[in-house]
Amino acid sequence: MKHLVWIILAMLLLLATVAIGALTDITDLRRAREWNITQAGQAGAELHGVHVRVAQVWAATAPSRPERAVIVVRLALRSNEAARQAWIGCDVSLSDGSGRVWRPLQTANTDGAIKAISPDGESKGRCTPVPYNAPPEGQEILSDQLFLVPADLLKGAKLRVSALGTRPDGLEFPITPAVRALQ
Amino acid sequence: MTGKQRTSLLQHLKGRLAASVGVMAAILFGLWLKVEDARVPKDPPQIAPGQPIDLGWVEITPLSLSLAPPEREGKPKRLLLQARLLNLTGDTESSVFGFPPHPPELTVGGAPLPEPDIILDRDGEPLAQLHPRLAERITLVWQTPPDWRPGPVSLTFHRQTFKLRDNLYGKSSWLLFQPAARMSITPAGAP
Amino acid sequence: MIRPANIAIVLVGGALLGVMMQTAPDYNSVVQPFRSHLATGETGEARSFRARFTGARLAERIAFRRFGRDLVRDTDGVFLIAEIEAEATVASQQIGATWRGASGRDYALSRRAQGIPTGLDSRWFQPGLTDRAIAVFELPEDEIAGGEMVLTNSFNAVFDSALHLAPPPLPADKLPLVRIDP
Repeated sequence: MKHLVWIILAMLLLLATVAIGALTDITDLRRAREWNITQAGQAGAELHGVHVRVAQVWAATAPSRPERAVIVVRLALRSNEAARQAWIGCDVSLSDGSGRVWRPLQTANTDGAIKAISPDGESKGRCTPVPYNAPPEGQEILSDQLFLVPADLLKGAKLRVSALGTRPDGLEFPITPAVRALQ
Repeated sequence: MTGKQRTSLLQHLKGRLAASVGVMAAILFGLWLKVEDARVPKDPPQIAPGQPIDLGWVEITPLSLSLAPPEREGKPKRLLLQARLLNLTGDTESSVFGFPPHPPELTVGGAPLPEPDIILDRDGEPLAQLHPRLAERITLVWQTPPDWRPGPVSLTFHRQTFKLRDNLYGKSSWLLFQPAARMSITPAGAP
Repeated sequence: MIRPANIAIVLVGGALLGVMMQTAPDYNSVVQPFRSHLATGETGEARSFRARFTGARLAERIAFRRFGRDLVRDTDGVFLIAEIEAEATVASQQIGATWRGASGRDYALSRRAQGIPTGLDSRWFQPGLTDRAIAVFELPEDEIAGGEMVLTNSFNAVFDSALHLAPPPLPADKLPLVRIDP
């Protein structure tokens, strides 16, 4: 009888060890992906206190490489500073229905490419919730991200927005870009 | 006294005896290790330029030490050690002097200088990596202290110990640094 | 009194432990990527990308332009310029490459050729799009024949897939100078 008590105690302690050890892994896993997606529309939606809106989407194709396209997404964030600080970063990605994910390009030419594609010839920079030149409270923070995708994604793609501080929650916007051909 | 009692006493004694012999052996072994430790010279060997030294990750062959004018006006003079470096591991290494890095230590007047810059002579750029079986000529660049008078300096080379299988996981690891060689030299070009 | 059976148990136990110690694989050989070996010209399927080794050139020196400066690199060995065709299958990603030489030594991408145009170190591969990149290795000439290129996810390939790609037919001569242009 006394032995049984010890054995049960040992098993409980073992379980506790496993649970404590798994805690960080579970937190990491929850933060690694957008497990809990909220669909958002044209008007945008709120994610952990920050209002997110897709301001504009442009796309361009080049006749020399018809199988590929570039998409520029201009995103607008609006909230008070505390909520933006709590986001910790900003991750934007495109996905199709089958689970493939495209991340924004971040090369030396990215800024130039965005300027060439956006009709106003401007690049607002990468998405960050706490930019060094933050506009006054209540105004929107704009950002531009450039994606290189297969041309069939122009028929319709999903834009996902989340951040380290918001995951597992994320937002998803349907996207249908206006295409123009580059020379 | 009955026979049975005598046997048990004898057995008792036997156990005690075995234990004492074991303890004695352990003490003697420990002492002998200490003696052995004291017997081996602590000071690493003195070497001359041109002699290769195994530093664990790499083999370094110091070639010459020279005094060079400052890089720019207003900067201190520089000490340059020309050397040949050969990767001894099976991988391309970016930390040629071990981790944390222990590049050759240059001592002037008893005080070691801050870590040198490691320049790949071929490109005149910092050494980024060293491939196995491709020896490279490098230059180690020290900034001399402002009050330094040219004279003999001492160089110490450190070797990092490699252990193929550690006792817990059988994982290979790089462990302690130990001085592997010393070199006393007067830089060329010193007045 | 110690019975022979007890001694036998201890001896057998000791022997078993000894055998286990000797045959247990060490950490370094267990914590490895999952390899797949591919013959010349085959397309390899890794967990998150597919890739092909399309061409190789040997050069005594390479020339390229970086940050507005013209650079020429020479070597005591030889530069192996490998051409790769790859496509991500899951998400946009980078691909890392090493050369497993004929002697079994691993040669990393040459950082002296970092930032070359179309270089593998700066390339991002997108799902659904096949892109080309070049990988430059600096190595002794006798490591090339019998060696293979290992492509992995760019960071840690442990417990992920690694493609071991046999090289395409190599040119007999090395070129005195190869200029790498965009």
